[in-house]
Amino acid sequence: MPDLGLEVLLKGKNFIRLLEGLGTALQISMISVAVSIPLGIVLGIFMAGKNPLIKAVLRIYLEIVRIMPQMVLLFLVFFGTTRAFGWNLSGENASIIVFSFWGTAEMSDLVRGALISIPVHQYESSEALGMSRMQTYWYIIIPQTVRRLIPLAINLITRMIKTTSLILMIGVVEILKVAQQIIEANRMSSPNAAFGIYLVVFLLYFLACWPISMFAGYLERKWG
Amino acid sequence: MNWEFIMKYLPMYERAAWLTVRIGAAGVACAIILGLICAVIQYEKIPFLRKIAAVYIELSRNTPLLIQLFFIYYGLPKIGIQMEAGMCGVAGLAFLGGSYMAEAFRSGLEAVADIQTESALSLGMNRIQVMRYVVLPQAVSFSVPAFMANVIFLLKETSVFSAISLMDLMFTAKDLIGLYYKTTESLFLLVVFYLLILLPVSIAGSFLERRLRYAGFGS
Amino acid sequence: MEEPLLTIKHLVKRYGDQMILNDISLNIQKGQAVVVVGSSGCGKSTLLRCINALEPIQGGIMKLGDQVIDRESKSLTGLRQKIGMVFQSYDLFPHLTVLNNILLAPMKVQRRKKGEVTEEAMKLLERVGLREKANSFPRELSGGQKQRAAIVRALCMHPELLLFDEVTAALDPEMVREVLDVILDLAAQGRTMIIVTHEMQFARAVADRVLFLDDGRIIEDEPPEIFFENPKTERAKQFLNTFTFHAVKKQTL
Repeated sequence: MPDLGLEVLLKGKNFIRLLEGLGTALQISMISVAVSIPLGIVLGIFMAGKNPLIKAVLRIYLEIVRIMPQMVLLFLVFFGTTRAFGWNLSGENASIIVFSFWGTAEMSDLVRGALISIPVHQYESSEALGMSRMQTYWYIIIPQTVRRLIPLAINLITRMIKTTSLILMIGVVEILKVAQQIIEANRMSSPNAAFGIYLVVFLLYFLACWPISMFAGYLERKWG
Repeated sequence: MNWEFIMKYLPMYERAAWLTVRIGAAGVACAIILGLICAVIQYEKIPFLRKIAAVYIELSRNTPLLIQLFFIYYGLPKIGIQMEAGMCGVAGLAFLGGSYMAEAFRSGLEAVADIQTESALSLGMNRIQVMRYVVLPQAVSFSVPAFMANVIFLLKETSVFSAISLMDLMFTAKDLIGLYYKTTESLFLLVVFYLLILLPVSIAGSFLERRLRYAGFGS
Repeated sequence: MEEPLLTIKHLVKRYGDQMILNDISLNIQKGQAVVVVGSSGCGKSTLLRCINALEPIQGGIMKLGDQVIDRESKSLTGLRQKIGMVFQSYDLFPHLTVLNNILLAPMKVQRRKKGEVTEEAMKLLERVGLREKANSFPRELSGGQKQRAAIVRALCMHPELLLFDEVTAALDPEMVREVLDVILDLAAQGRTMIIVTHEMQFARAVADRVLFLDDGRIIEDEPPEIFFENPKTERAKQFLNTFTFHAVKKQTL
């Protein structure tokens, strides 16, 4: 058995430290998701609505977020705001702002998609049954929309977790940074630690995202 | 805005942009091949290989590219698999993109009606002929929207390449900010160059999608 | 008597516990036009699909000439070339023009020359009134035109047996006729055919023999005059009755 550098994990608090690093990343993801989902729902309803001005503005917002790599957005906010407004944002706060900005756009598009995917005859037939507009939404449209939306919103969580790995690049101490530190500290005693540690980081991310993806897939099949 | 600075460092960004485009294109090409193989394996339900494809797809889709790159670039050399940074970039993008492309092609394949396969079989075609002449051409055009979305997604993902010390656009911008504190100019150039790369792809994507919708396959 | 073209002995087809075809035995002579009728779900489409080996079967044996129809057989593609099939819904390949739809299998499967097949295809298209549509895509055709093109595609493989699976069921009423006329023309040429249809007038006109399927069994096998005038079984009488309407006397409440 070649030396894969896994023994480093068992040294001291190394594994705990890695988990704490992942915790930092997950915390930022969860805050961003918590902001994105409600905001995205509101914007999505406007985007599916009729006001052309609001729709145009939101469209531009969505397109900007869509076309720019999150990494670039992160740089713009992290470095740019210092320059433009003299703010000194911490890496954590900059990433929460960027990921919420991105997540809201993605969520709003999901909401819009779910709303416009309800066929017109669903509205027509419930109105033909004499339902009011409110009743139509409450009993017919919202339940169908929610079923389409929930799996997609859950998937957004995994996308957010994956995106959060980028915070390393603006200097936030998270799991990859901790991994680098551990590998550096044990360079002499276990020269192969990079393999084992990064493999573990890879698997930890997988373990964080996979159950969520599976759950979303399950709901999609159940309600599909 | 200091235009002199911008003009001076334009060539540096240009080189960086080409690096992104080259590695991006190579990575996407490999992802397409990998994705097509996985999609056909899953569609044809080839035993054993199908399990491997499924495991790969889950691993690839549930981990970030940055982590995949770290593992490939820093981890793999420790067990004797050594590649230069550019190759690692291509490999990472292919590993990530393969699963996304596989899903796009698979849903394209599943969108081809069963009757198409059956009528091709009833004309005496074998499975390979059915796949090549009847199913694949239709599946490819069904998967164009998802495919184009994936291409853009993958090109955007290339923005983490600086983590494995590739001198891409992010690397250049960060470098210039650190060296000269010309934050506005550096970020301006960064955005402009990413737009130059991504806008044409995005426009081509929506054009292609509209044309296919106009062509209106099916009944 | 001459060897039958198609022989089916004790064919059994199940989906899970559900019996679809229950001990079907049948001989079809060369040149016969056989119409299969029965209420929906009686197994008539499944019978055609089994003959073309599109469905696995659970018992019995089927032979075309002296060749066994077997899904696992290596020569299955060769066998299928001898059996032409036209389906209920549009089975033309949407990414190919009408002509390329027709040429694909003769060229790729039978390795025939493009010029020769094209010539034959154009002749057949002419015969079904679609010559000027040769270079159109399926989406530019009406339902009736698509089905006629699908028939030509099957014919170009020179099949010994033709299977028609409710080819007019998905068509608008005014297009049914043009397709049925093509099939009548084929019957007049003495082609061997098995036709599943709900068009009773047509069935009567085209058939040499009518099979009535009920619950997965053949319960009548008669010339059309006899089947339509004097069906033997109660089930057949009931079935034929569903095609006639009786005037309603308005009830006064």
